[in-house]
Amino acid sequence: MRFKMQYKRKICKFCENKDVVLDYKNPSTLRRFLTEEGKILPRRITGTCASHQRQLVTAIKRARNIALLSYASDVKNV
Amino acid sequence: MRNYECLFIVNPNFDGDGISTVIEKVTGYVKEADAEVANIQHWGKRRLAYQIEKQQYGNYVLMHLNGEAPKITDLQRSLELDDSVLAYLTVRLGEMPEFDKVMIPEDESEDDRRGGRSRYDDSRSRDRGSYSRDTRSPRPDKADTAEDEPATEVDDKGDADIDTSPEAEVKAEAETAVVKDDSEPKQEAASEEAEPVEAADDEKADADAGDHPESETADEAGEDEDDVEAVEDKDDEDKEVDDKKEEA
Repeated sequence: MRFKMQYKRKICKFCENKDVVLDYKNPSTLRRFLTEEGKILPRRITGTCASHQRQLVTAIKRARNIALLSYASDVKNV
Repeated sequence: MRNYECLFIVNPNFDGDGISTVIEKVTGYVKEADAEVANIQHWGKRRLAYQIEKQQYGNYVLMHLNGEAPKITDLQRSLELDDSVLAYLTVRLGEMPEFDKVMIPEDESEDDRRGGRSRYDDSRSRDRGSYSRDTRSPRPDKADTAEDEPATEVDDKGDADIDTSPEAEVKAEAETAVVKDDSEPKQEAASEEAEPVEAADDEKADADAGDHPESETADEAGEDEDDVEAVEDKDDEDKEVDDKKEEA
């Protein structure tokens, strides 16, 4: 018997809610799209659309540059 | 002329008056770069996500500028050479934002010491918030009781006033009478309404009880007929098999 998993399609958080400002000065929202170590989560996991993912990546990299986010942190081995 | 946004971190050793002097110095750099300062926003002392020049904290200052691109590189160079500025970031903007709406991000640094935290930590910080609320909850209760006691005293005085005045007594009696008049008919009406409903339920129950036996008997009869047919079919098949054997 064939059994297919049916997944709920993820919706881009920024398309869904237009009020969320995608900006490097807003590290708390950017942090949702990072792993615990501070790596950028891929699109297939977060469900962000392509254009917003590009904006997100630049915002995260700017925030890292100005020490609002960390580049990487070895959380697991602390 | 283009719009720029410059966010720089002032060394925390230049606290207090030192920051304003550093900001004045940076505005001097901006003027040297033939640019105009449109807005200055001081975020205050925040924990850095990582150490810069062995500093764990820094004073963030956001500055909006109007200037020409080649001159802005001069500003960046002077910020680079300044020892009181730990780090800086200049970003070109399409349009100037409304300065009132530029939000200062919350400083979550006290919760996450290591930086680079994720959604897990958001939940953890929320939990902490709830715990702190729980611990605080006794205090407001005390405050409420303290407020209630004087309030009750005031009420007592008010009652005393009403008792002394005969008009108030009459009013109070009238009110109670009105309340009684309203309440009693309602109860009667409710009881009257309730009885027919119960009766209707009984009738329904009887009807249901009456229906069931008939339906069951009908079903049984149907099943019996089906069984008979099935048996006949089997007999037919047997006969056919017998015929084939004889032919063979």
